[in-house]
Amino acid sequence: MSGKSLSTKKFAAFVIIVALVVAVVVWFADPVWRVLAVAVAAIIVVVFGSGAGDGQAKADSHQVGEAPLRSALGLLMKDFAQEERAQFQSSNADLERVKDLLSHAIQELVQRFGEMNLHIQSQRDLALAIVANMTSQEQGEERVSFSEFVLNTSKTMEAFVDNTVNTSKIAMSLVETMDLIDKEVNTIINILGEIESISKQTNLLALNAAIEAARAGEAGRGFAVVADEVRALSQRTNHFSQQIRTHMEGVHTSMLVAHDSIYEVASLDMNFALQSKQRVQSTMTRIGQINHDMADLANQINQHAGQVSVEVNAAVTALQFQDMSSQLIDHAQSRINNVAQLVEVIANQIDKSPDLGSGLSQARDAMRAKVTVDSNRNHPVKQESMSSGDIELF
Amino acid sequence: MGKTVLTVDDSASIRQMVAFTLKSAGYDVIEAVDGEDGLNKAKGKVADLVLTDQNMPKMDGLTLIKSLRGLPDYRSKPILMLTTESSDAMKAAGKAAGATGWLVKPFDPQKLLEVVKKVIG
Repeated sequence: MSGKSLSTKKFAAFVIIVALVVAVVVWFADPVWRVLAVAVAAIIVVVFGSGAGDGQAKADSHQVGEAPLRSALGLLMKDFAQEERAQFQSSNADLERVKDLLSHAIQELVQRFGEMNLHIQSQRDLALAIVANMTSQEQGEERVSFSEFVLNTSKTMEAFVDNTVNTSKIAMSLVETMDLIDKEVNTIINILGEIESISKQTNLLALNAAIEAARAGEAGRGFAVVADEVRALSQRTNHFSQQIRTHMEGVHTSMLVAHDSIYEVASLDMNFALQSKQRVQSTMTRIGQINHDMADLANQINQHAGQVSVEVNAAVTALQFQDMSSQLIDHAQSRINNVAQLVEVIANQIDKSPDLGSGLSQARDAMRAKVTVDSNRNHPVKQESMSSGDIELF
Repeated sequence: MGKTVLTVDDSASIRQMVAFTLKSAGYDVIEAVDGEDGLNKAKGKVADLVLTDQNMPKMDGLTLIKSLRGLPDYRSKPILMLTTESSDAMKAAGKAAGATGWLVKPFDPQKLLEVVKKVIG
């Protein structure tokens, strides 16, 4: 037994010395490796030292060489704890800076996103207001929609053009009526020719009658008077016929002038009115199309603004990674702090114990007790993605 | 006058996001940085709804809810948890403490707004 115990003891001492040498060498190499190497050395010391210590503590507590070893180990652990504490404090400070930087950056981003969203919504409201102004306008105290205004204008123009066309039709009808009147006037003038012819024959007959009356002498005197009267009537008839002819020819001339003027006006107005009607219809169709296009554009702006809101919401959801990261960093800091405390616990136990074996054993017990307490701490962030979390109403 | 929401969270960015979401919908928002601050501000002005985180310094969300339920003004007011905690045990504890509902972070602003509208109109 003593041979095996001695061998185990020698092996443990050898491993511990090797670990300490490696730790000291690495200590001067690099701060990061320094911490890691000392941690490994400490674990080796705890494991082998304790294992060896269990078997030898009672029998060999007075062994020559243990006191310097315990002292060296205690000093090493204290130095390690001190250095580790400094490193962890530095890491904590860096992590706090990361949290602060993230927090400020995210707040700034949320602020900017919020303002961007507000500007987009204002832009949408302005676009909708423009369309609203295009589709309605002040008319006295009433607001008339622009489409109604276009419709009313179109109707008014159509009524105006229809009236003009109707007037032209009436004018054409007048021209035709005047043609008829002119024909009647010509007929009357022809009839007047007949009357004048009858008047001439009557005058000739009266002259013959007067001649015959003169040949009859005294007996024909009365007949001669009648013949003269008939002749006078014939001349008056002829005179009146001439007057009527003169007037009728004046009417005929005036009718021709009026006919030509009305015909010309009717023809010109008809073309102008039809062209105007087409132009008004074309303009109104174009205005209606512009109005419709503007409404479509405003609708598209509205849709884009809605999409921006959705995207901003998604960004705000995603930006909450900072809160989760911050909690995870807190949790990591807490764990780092636990490790620091663990090393201090081990160092203290080794330092205050009377011998190395019991010190290491107590250090292991204390370490296990602390690890059990720490591992029961709740982990605050379970989420593994940035999709929005569950909602539950009780 | 808009309804008032008290948001309690130790994260300034979360408070800002909640305020941004609710203010844009016309709610008045009061911010508190932890449970203790939330309790004081809740006493200062009675909010129509309280939205609180769980893990905060000084006083956590569940303690805040229990304290608020002890106040006459908050006996029947809706109180929603808004937290990264999502375990059934924590939710059960929240329900037992008097929470009206449980929202797990990260929250979708639109969904948050829908829940708030559903709860207080």
